[in-house]
Amino acid sequence: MASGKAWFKVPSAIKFNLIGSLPRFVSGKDVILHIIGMIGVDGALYRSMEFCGEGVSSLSIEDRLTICNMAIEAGAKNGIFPVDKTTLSFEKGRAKHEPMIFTADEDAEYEAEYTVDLSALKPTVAFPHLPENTRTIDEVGDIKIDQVVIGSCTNGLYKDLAEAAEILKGRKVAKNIRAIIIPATPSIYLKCVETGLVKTFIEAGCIVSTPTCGPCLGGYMGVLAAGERCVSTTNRNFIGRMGDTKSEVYLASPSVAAASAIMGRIAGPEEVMK
Amino acid sequence: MIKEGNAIKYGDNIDTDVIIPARYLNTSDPKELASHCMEDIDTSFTARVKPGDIMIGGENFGCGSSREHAPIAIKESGISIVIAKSFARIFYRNSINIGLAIVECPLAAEEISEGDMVSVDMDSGVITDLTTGKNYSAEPFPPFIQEIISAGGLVEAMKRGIIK
Repeated sequence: MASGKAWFKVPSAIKFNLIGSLPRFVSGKDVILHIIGMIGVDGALYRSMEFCGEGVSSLSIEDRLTICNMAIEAGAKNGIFPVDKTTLSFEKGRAKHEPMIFTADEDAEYEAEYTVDLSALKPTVAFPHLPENTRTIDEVGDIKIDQVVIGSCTNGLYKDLAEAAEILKGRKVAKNIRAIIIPATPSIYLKCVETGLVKTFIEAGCIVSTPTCGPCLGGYMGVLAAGERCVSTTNRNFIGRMGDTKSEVYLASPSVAAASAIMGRIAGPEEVMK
Repeated sequence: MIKEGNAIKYGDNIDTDVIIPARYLNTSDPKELASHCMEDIDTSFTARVKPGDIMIGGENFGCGSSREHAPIAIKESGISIVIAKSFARIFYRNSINIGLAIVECPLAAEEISEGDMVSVDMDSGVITDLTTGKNYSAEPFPPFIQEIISAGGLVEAMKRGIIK
């Protein structure tokens, strides 16, 4: 940083061709969990994951940020999307300089190519203790939980929290479940206060924290005891990640986490919203 | 530059918590870190490692935390270079930036045995198992990366004006 320069080993690239568009209650989190389940936690080791195809335009910036955030969980050096209208509208008013837009060369070489049909995806959960241990919501079975964490860097953008609020509104978190909401940034936190999301969360029986890494790495607040299970929208579920080495972390989207908080077990949003 | 020493060999996915357990991270003293290096998987490491020894790892060496304590602990323990099948991305950059020599060579990492005398020519990328007489070729680092490593890391390289 002091020199204004940085060196990198240039990664080779893997292409993910996205087609179709996501069904209701299926989000970027489900896309990346599906992909990690498909290629494994070292499936993109030191590679660049490039997401492209006609399906990209249907994905919100929040979906894309979650997907890129968790590219690391497939071992990747980075995850990137092409710039389009959605990107430019998010960037507007944020960047101090005119953006420089880069696109992949026509003849770019890829080490591997995958096609992902977004319309075929279901809510997906990563079981302990690796993000690659994925199951779709209909394969989960009856798993009682003790805690839910919704938010963090991975899934704490406004749209993520609004999706959780849609499910929690007018409902109550199940008895003895700790439901912790963590907006990703102070400005998102403030927006949640202004638009009434915080009211919805508190009335549903959640606690709303200031932005923090806190429980994601078992740092503080909601640290799991031995034998406890948590559905979390964070990005890692390694052994002992959120507390005791005998606790369990299940990674899922904000919608699944919210539905699980209400049911007291891992549940899909459709079950709650029917 | 030639690195020469005995091989100390580990398997795949050697993570940063194994290299230096998190319970010792309340210090950044290299000597203190080195005194606990590898202790959770190999209690004999600190006693048997000799200056110049070469650590061999499998796939994804150094995965886990972004902390620099891990390559610092290895470097301070006397290891002259780490040869692995592949390195985790953050460990890879951290190692070079703190001046720990590393090289990727899947075949050498597979075939070199614990205790073999090994030499690594950093300029040509040739790795020689002096015990078996077998040569392996790895891709050498570009000169500026080698200069960062031999200066003892990025900060030192900048102080000396090697990196501007």
